[in-house]
Amino acid sequence: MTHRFPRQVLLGSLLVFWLALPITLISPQNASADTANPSGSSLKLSLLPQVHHFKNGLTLVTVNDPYSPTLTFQIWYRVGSRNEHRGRTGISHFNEHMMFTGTKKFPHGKLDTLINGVGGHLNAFTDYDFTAYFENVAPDKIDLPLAIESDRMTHLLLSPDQVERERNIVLEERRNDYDDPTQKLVEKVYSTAYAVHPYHNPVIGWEKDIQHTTRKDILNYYRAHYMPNNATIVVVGPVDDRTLVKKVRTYFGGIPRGHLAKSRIPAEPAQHHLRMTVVRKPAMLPITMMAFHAPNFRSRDAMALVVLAQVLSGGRTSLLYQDMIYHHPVAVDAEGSYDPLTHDPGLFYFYAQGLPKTSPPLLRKRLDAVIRKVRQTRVPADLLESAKKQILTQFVMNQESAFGMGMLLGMMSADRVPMTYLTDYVRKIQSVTADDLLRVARKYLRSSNETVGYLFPTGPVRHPSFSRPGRIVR
Amino acid sequence: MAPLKSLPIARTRAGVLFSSLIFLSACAHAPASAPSAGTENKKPAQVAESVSQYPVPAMHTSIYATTLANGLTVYVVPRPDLPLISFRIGIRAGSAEDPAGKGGTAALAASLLGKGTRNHDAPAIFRIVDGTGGSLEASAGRDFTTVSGDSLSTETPTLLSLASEMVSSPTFPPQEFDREKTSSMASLIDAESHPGPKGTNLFYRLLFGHGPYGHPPSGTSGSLKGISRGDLSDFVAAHYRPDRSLLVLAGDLTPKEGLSLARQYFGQWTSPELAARSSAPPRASAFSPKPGVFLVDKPELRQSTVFYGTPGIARQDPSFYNALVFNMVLGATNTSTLNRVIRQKMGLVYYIHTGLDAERHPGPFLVNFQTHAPNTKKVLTAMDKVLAEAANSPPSPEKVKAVKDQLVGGFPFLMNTTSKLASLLLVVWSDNLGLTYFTDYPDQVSRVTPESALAAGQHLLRDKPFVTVIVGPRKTLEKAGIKGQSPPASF
Repeated sequence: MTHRFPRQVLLGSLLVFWLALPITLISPQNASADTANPSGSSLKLSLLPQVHHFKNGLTLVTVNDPYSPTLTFQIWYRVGSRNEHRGRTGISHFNEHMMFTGTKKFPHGKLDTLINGVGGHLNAFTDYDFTAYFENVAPDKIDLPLAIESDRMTHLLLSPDQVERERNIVLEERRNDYDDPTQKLVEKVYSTAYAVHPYHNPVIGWEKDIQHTTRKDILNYYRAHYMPNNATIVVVGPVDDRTLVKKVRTYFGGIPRGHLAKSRIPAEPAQHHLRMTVVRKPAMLPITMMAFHAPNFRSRDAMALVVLAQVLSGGRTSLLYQDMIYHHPVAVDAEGSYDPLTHDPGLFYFYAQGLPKTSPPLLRKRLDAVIRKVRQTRVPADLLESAKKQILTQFVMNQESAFGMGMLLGMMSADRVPMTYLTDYVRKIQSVTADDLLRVARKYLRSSNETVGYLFPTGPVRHPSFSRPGRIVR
Repeated sequence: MAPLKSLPIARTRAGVLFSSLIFLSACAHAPASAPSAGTENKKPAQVAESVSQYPVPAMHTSIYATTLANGLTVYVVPRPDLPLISFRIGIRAGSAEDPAGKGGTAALAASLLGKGTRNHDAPAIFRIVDGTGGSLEASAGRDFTTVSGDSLSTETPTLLSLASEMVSSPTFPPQEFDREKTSSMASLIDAESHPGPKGTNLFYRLLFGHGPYGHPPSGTSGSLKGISRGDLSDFVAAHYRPDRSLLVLAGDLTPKEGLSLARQYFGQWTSPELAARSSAPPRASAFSPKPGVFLVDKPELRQSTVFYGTPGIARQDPSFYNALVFNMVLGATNTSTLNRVIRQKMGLVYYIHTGLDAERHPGPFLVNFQTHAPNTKKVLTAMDKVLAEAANSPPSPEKVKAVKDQLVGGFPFLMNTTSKLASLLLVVWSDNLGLTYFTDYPDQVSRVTPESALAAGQHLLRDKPFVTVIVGPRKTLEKAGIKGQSPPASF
């Protein structure tokens, strides 16, 4: 079964668990109705992550969550499709598949048997910026993932027949994407919006590259990137930090620091003209996607863009829902999305799937009208407050999942996001003003910075399940 | 490290009964202050509900279960680790209850619950819900309709108040009805052209006909056309009743607070149609499927999507746990025989799995995979061989033990967040599993033997009509040796 982890889920999982952060959330309709939480509308959260750096460069991040009945162990390598070269796209993902094909200690199939045997789950995922492996197990089974991950960090066999067999499976995955018109559209929008930066390529790679990648390519790639000083271990669950540090030292301490070559990744030059791309495939409903280059977490505009995306599509009072689905129905779905947690600048994108008898240009016209609105007028105060409250509520909700917390911490480590991003998060979201939204909308949502993608249905085919082209899993 | 709250400890065994007064004074997680006087004043007259406590060891908590005077079942699950509350309302009003020829009635009704009530129109509901920062959604599955609320605990009363109106006084405003129907129709038209939904819907229709699970909960674009506002009102009048419903409140609240909220917001929910309740007999689940291979031509696809299966068992079937183990060994995990042979050895699929779809009514036992279209025949042949072997000899004791360990060890993953536990409780309730499920499950699994698993497997596979549905490019498939008939338009 395929498991996808859309970035948007993770966006919402920017947890504020590591400081005692007071969050004031006032509900005008409900100021006196707090029987369920007698402490009123003030929240204080107090789960702390611990960060350890080992001599060989390995980083360990732990969060002791005593309420979680399960534990997640994740290891994150700072390598993904952004590190790939022309002609060998998809090698990060191919290598991820190979990580399950065996070492001398754990032959092919053994990992699944061992983890299943304790009722756990294991899998992996590859994205633009990282490749990560996880084992979710009962807390007393922590030694198992430690043994597995320390072993396959350096001892992968990469047998030739396994490479060929796995190549077929990866090509099966690739064909699934090819058959999906929405995936095709998203892929084309990214490859049009990025001319030189590797975000141009789909994470799974181009089919021809998958076919031509050799065992030697994969071996070299594995040796160049899989080493303790390019990895972060994240453990969330009922764990004792000191015990865990000792265990990690036991399992990983003997692996020497490796030589990590500096990646030279071309920066995407500023876009000066509108770009267009068109997909014509059998489908039932038209889709329009509009993508604007936007900064990542390093920018002071990032929080305003997070709130702007929520104002556009968070809930049924959002601007896009109200305009395109409720008051003047032209679409079955319309959203705006922004993810600040990317290593390099990403995209703020809109998409809309139209009702029958609509067309991509019509959807674009409606999306443009909403974009014009946020560029020209201040967002009403109640909508702004509601959006900020939704964002902060989602933060708290996502703390519940040990796995989700682990994902966030791992992704932050992979993208080298400083902890201040989180420690300041609540304050920064709360301080976003209507003027900030107006400013960032004018700065980034302009046509010279835009790539428009149209999907023109040419006949009956399949349901578009929209997701950004990023993450794929084994 | 900052100090942490102490863990809640489940101290009692299942099925302890005591009066609400004793229960309320003995609750383990008393709040720092009592509920506000305003809240208390709104309470309906106290009734001496008896409360039963059932431990959920995996979550270090218990379920406190009671029934209100109006027949509403209430489960409260304290989980005070975060200032959040998840609530779920389950109503025995799923698509299995859709009127004949009007598949999608339950789903359309559910999708309109938040678009108009006696006291609020849609824009007002949108404003209130978004203003809480949380969510309030309604949807219908096959066996029940669910209303879900997730929010900070301070916002729960606001959402409960709305949810109470949604289930007791939905108005289905004409404009909202038209809008929702148009949007649902568009989504269905689109989904019906996708190989997954297309294949699934056809597969279930061929296996179950007009039975409870013969049509998709969403209905089809054809069935939706014939549904009127009156149909929705009739459906709600017949099925939305407290004595056919469950309220789960889970999260940062004590049993006392949970019961108080339940009484406050749902204690007045009545069943005005009690005498007139529809006495229509439940849909007949007896249907004889016509075996065969059915091919849906999609010339533009490179992959084929395949569903292969036969009618299975209901969740209440005594052989369920044996069938579960049989299914896991055969094809439901990444170490299963099918996965090992067809993905790991032959490299022909990205995924292949079996499914035991067992809920209130019997669903199918099925195999589902996607493969490069020219390989379809090869995969089907290998699959047949694996299935035949599985039905002939018992799985090895080692495999059975491994699967049992996996099931028991993996049990906490079914409920490792409060919202997941709340949703799981709806299933436990709907399938009549009883609240001792959380303690019984390991025992039930441990009783399975290789022989009992084989017997259950033979019961599923032997002398049964099998249906194969393939969605893919017909020409390529025929070239690869696949022969299939076009699916019947309707029954």
